[in-house]
Amino acid sequence: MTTRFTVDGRKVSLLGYGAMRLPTVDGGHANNWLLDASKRSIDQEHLNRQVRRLLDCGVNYFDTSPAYCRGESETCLGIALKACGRPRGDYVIATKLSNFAPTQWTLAACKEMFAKSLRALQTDYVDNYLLHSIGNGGFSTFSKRYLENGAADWCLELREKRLIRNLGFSYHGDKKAFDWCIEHHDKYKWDFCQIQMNYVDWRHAKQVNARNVDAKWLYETLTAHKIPVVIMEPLLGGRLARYNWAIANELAPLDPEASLAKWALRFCGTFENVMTVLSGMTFDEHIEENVATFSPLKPCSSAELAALERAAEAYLSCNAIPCNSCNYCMPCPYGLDIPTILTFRNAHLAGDGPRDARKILREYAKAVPEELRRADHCTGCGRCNPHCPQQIDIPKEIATIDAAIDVLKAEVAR
Amino acid sequence: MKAVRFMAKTFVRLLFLVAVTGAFYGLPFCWLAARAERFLWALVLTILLGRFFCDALCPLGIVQSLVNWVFHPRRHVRRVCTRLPETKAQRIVRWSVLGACVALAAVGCAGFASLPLPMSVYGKALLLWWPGVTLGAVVVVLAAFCKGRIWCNWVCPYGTVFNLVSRLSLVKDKVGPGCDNCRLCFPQTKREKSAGDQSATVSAAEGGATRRETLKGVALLAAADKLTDGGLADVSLPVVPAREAPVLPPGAVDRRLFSLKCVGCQLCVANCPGECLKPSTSLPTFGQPQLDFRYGYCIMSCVRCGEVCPEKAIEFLQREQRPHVHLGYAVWEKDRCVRTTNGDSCTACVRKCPVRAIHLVKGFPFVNRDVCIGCGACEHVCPARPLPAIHVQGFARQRVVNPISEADLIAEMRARLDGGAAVVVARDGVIVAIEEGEGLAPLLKLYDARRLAGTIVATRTVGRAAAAICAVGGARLVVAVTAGKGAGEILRARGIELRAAQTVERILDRKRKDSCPMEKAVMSVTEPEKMIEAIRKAMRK
Repeated sequence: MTTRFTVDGRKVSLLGYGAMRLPTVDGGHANNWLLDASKRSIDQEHLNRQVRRLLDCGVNYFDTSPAYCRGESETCLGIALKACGRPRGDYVIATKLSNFAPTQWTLAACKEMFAKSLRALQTDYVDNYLLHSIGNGGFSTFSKRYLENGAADWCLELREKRLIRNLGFSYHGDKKAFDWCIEHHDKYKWDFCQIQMNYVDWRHAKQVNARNVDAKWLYETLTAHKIPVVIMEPLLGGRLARYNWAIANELAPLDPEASLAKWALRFCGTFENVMTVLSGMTFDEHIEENVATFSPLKPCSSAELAALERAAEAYLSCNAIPCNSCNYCMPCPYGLDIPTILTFRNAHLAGDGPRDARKILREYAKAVPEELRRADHCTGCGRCNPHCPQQIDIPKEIATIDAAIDVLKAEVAR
Repeated sequence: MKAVRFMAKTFVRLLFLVAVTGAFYGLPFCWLAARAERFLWALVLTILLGRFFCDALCPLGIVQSLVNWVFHPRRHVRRVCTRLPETKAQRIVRWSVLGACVALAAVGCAGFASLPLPMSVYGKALLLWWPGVTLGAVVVVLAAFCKGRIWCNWVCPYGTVFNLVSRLSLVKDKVGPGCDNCRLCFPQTKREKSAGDQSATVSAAEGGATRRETLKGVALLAAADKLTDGGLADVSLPVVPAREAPVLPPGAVDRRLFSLKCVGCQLCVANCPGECLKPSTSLPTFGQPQLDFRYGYCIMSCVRCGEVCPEKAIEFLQREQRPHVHLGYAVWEKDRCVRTTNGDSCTACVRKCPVRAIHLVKGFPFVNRDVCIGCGACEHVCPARPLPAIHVQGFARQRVVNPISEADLIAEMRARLDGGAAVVVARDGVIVAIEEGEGLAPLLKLYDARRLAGTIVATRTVGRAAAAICAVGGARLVVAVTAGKGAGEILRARGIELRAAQTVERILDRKRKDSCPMEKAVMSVTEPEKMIEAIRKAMRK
């Protein structure tokens, strides 16, 4: 296992475990809502086995948040880490100050959230603590969440008291928030920063969404300030790992045996200032494959980077909605299954080719079995929008999808 | 000869049974077989061929014959026969049933009156749970334990009429010299133990009833802040609102006439692509289809129910006519609307209305009843629970609103463009989409949603790029204020007409300094499909 940086004197593996897509008892991951809500509890036994296996393989960075998996991620990860019986010094825990709701914007609520994290994770301290998704909802939200209430300064106190060892932030959304953090680096001395980086966002983030910032610029800015980088969404929620003819066409000639996931992870690992690459490995096979990729990591050559750049362009031509199924938008107050609808759209409605209306409607009914959770029940209230780290205009996209579905229905009725 | 006749008859019987049953499960063209039940047509057949309908086309009759055959395989039970002696009791029952049906229909309980009709029994047995399966089971059990087609000879009102008419028929049942008066064809009161396995045949009649999908439901999550990610809010189905008048399928025309004509066979219910036709549960109209918007809504371009209706109770509308048939009108209730109850900025009904009859006026939805077609899309998507805040009231008599002429329609579309819309799309004489925005994005959005096929597209400016999108999208007519020089060529190549107020050499960009960047992007491309790719690429930059 390749290692580069240290946290509190401990070497950190270049591959990290993201606890946002934990395995569930129905066999999917916690963000995969194919089955009845009652059946979607996290498979603790399975998680325990996975965590033990990861530690055996040398993966020792675990990233979670109080908001993940309907709030169960921290608890389940805490149990799993305890159950593997390793000393606390063997692994690094990263968790976040996920005070998204306005009711959590007071300092007291933040303190309560941190105390709850410690209890849930069954630990006395947190290695890496992050201000969660700064920039989501604009700079004013960032200011209200962390600056006006003094939460950021309180985090500095935590670091002095060694209740947290490192302080960092994860960034999505408004660039102003990122700029502010970099400007105030002298005061906060950020120990690391978590950004979305992959070969599509490297230079084409703006093409995916005009409000995004290229990962290249973020990475170079952070490197210039000597802030180590933690990478999230290296596979775009699995979208870069799934078979895509356009991508495979560019990459397979260079290494016909490598999976698309391996390519994407190698890209992220190539850059020297990367501390760890987070992957939400739901299935055992994901763990084995990714561990193999990083043991040791073979950096990409310049020819390979050029091929990845071409692959990114090819991927963009697929015109996909950039949803990573992170489920930050969920639960929708009106019961819609937003990530599944968007994922369905990417799989079955994108592209200009001919299509069989009956087949697509069947797939739709399979993807979203409950009629009341489908696109037409969107009220356009827009409560989901501020939560989306990819800045997707969700009600607008859902309306377009619903219009397309209506056309298909009319076709079938003919 | 006898064997050939028997085989031919069996073939026709099975063919029709399979075809009619197939119609209930949406197999294509099977409804043609179901329409063979059209009474008058059958009457003519009867005059020509005797009780040919009962013998070979009636699905209920064929099922009874099959049951007879399973339980009494060795007895040759003749088909429904007109010439054999029948008991006084039988005659009394037959005519009383017919009389009761006519009387019930006369007082307006047509749904109930049509209960004993064969298509009604068969359809209900396939698709309705307890009332239908019970009825079907009664028929099957009667056929199994007695001999002959008890239902046809004792109950069926059609049977009674056909019996009478068939006395005039050209082809007569051959009873006479060949008949040894074995009376096997004659129902016996004495029960005989059956030989076959009864459950096997009963299940054949029941099979379809399990098809009804399970009900799924939604309740509005409290407006509280979400604290964690993931999970799904509870959902529940709304309660069906009390309607002054039921909403009837398009083509049912008059409520009173429809209730007399419809036999409640469930064929339209089984075939409704919008999944909004459901059998009524109230007594006078029992089993007759009504629109229930909990599971779907009436698709504006769909005429399937009229197409399949075996009784012509639902008229077969022309597809172009369909959007102009108004089934009812939407009624909005302020107290129930989530805009009132939790101050949410819900626009579900406004977004969903296919004819844009609902507008937000001072923050609340306002229904334009002149335009509303009563399709129920708004009621279907309304999130208010338990009762939806917007619901449809049916018309006592469906209204056909004269479609406006194409010239008037285009004039209205032009007015919308002047009012600030970027693209206006009309189909079947109705404006179906109005998009706002800059450049090609609104048009491309409509193209991605495949909403351009067979439409009139009105937009301010049409260059080669916009023309390509319209051409590939399958528009019928493109209306523009300004058209670029190459646009007409692309459209003409696909047989699309272009009507523009003025034609210009080149289209300028927003600053009016340079050529439009989209036009530049498609400059060197000739094929419309490839041009769309080029447009997408240019838009990303």
